[in-house]
Amino acid sequence: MRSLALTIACALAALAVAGVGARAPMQTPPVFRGGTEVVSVDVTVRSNGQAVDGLRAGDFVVRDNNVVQQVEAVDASAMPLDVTILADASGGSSGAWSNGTSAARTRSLVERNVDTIAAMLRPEDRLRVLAIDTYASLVLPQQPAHQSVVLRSLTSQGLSSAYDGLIAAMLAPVEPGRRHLIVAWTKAVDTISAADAEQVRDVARQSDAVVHVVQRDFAPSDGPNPLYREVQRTWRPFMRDDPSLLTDVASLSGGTFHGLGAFGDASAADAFKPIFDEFRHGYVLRYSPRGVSRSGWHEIRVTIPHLPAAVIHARRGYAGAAAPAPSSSGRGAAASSPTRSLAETFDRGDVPAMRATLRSTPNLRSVIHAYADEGAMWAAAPRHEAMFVLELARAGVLSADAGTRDEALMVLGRQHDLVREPLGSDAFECTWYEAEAAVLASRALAIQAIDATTSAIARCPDASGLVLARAVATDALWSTANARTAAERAGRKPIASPADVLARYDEAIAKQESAAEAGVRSAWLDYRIGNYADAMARLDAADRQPADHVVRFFGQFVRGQVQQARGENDAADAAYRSALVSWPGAQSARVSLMTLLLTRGERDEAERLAEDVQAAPGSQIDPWWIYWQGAYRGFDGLMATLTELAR
Amino acid sequence: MTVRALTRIVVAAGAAVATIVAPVRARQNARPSFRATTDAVSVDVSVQRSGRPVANLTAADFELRDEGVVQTITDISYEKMPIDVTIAFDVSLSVTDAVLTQLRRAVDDVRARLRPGDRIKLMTFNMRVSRVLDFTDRLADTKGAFDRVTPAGSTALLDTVAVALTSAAPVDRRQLIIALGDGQDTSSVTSEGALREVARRTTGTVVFVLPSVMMGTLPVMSPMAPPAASARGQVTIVNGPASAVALPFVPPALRTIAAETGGLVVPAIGDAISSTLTRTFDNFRSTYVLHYSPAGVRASGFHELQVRVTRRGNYDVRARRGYEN
Repeated sequence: MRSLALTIACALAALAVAGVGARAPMQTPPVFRGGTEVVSVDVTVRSNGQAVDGLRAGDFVVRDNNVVQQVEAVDASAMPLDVTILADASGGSSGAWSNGTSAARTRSLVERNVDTIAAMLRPEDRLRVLAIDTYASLVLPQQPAHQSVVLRSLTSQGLSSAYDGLIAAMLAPVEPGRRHLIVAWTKAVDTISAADAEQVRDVARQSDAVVHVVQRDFAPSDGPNPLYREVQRTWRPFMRDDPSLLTDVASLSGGTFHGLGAFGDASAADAFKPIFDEFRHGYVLRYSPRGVSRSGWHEIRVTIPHLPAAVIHARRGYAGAAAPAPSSSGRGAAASSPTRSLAETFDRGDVPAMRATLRSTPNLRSVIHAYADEGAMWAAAPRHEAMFVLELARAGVLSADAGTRDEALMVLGRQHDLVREPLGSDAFECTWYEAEAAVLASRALAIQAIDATTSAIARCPDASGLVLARAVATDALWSTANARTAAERAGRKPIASPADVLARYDEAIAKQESAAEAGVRSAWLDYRIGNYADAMARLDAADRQPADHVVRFFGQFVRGQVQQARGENDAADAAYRSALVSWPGAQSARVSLMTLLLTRGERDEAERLAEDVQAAPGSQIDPWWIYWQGAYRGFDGLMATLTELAR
Repeated sequence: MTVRALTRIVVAAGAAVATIVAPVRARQNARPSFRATTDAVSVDVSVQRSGRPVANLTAADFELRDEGVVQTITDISYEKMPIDVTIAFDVSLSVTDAVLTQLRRAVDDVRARLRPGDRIKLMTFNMRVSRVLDFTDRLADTKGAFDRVTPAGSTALLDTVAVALTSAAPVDRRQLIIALGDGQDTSSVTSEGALREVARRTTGTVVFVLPSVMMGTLPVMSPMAPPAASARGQVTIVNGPASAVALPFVPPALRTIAAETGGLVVPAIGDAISSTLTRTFDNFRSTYVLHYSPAGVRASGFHELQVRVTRRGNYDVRARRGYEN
């Protein structure tokens, strides 16, 4: 079996081009809902062509890897649905895979079908629509079913990314207490997807959704599509039409395949009705796996002894637990490798132990390199993987060894691409980017931080933490460049100016969550370039009592610096003392107050402060020490949020 | 008013300067900790000729001007006063194990030169300023003082010097502060200007020792302080024969602060950390202390000092530039 990681990586490449993001990190493992100890299986039962109602848990026999399980049955009719329509709009009016339908007609067809399907759903159900064309795209984000439907742009450029579209639909995580039904209305021909058929099957095995496939009709064109002609100059598109793929996808997921002739091309909505009815009359069987190993592939078999002739649809199995799974790369054999050991520690949730191990690892570079070489460790739990990478990269970028830092940046950059949700950013993705910014928060990595945050802001424009992180990194870049000698600066293209930096800070000031900190930091920049009046104005405009006590300290301390520069020594004295109230023992405030007092002739207190500074315990921390590490201080909180979101 | 001014001189080896008159610095102190009596100023003066300390000078051999007014030297001493030496060592990321080993040897060598009554204090600094060992004449205490040092973090060099200068200084002892590191400052909140003000109001002589092996190991970064206060360092490669070496570029701020206190910035090439430190210490000991009671000058403000040797010949005379009263 090909690894899911490879599947996802391939899907990523194509979807990224489409501008819809790429790989969707799946939830830890997809078929486990509401925790890792419970398996939920959607089951439909038909007898004599009719859905069978009224069954109870005792009617079912569920075998997990051939071991009979204790089952709890839930009447699925009451559970809200998430419905995904995957609409194949590929092929132009005269394309190589056209069915003679114009783009406008295809669009009209899709809109009409979506409207009809939406009307069948209940208020608590939700609907989203993906389109298959040259690229897969999200044309209707998930929304309440009864909300009016406004599709985004739907194109028909000629090629087909059906495989990528199927993967994108199936990778969407299913929330506990909900069921996910996918109706793929497709021509079953693929010409450009990054994923291949086997990878689609891999995802179907592990997806939590039930997929029903309705095949669209299509006929050879009467002439080549212009895009096809253009593409052919440098690359010949695939002509994939794996005859059993769609049947397999439906079967693996517990759905059904509706071939040509079952419904007319204009009757996707008609096709949906029986699917929907059957799904509504289904059951959700739940059990805690017993007598089977936690990891690996689990084959599921559902029977009803007293209805031996019944047609039962249920998924064929699920992928095992989140523990590092042996992969096709062979990494699983390296059970004693440092990377594996770290992964096991991470799996236990013992992050302090993992960090301690990383700090004491004599050759961290080789550990990171091994991880990069070996590939995904949690193929079924990419979010878990994404968090592991953050910890690994954080240790690496803090290393004194340049090679280690480079390895860490490479791994982090790769994950930056992989973490993208194919159907648009979500909270996990945006929080991951903020954690990444925290990892890169350092003057030495300012350029990398600017690149990463700029890319992330394009995905998560509302994330104030990212906007502020970019401003801080831009400031760091400018200040580092400014520190170079004149000889070093000669011939170099200016990479930032104070105006550039202030503009970035102003972007962060415009966002409520980051306004206070951005205001203080922009004031500090004005102070450093000698604009004391502007610095004071910015401080006055900023919130003087922000909830974040680090920001409060920064504000008071910077105020003291600016006032001292303006010769307002009494006010500076008061500001430094306020800073010391906000953060008792802060070395920066003590030293600044010490020098101020000495110049004012108050030697006794200055000497006392000098003594306090030198004798401070090793546990005494000064927030000023991490001024340039901006988001760094939020790393643990962001990781905690990611942990919650990954569940 | 109790006033004391110290003039300190440290001359680089090999210097042969035909300077007769040198600016001299003193310092103000309205503090009981000053070692002179009321209205008395003490000035440390180093005199060298052809790179060697000149001994056997008397008060009559010096002319000392305070704000341009010649003063009467009431007392003079040479190598008599006990010394408090503070060694502050950079333990930021730029430090290697090899440098640490050299440092331990250097501390041992300086310790061996201490006389009865002298004391030594050890500090470390990265972004944190720490006292590893307070002034002690129990020289055995210095053993193992740096054993647990783990290089990490950024560098607050100017903050460290500010703290070391401001620390209480007994009036009957001379203060030498040796700051050893790569000369870069990446996290101080003390600006060059602020540190200069501190130097004018305190008594220590500051010597920066910059081992070439520590230079250029970190990217050049700006300090937290305004640009004018930057203490930037960079390696300059001296082109020449095969024996060319990398010499440290001395950050201007360090020269300013050292000169303000009568000190110097001394590169330590290769593995010469120990010999550089001991030479620095020896030169500091070979210093005259001139005492006078200011006359004919205003009481407050900055007093510029000038000291010269009146004997015939070329002398390199160093003392602090003045004192704040």
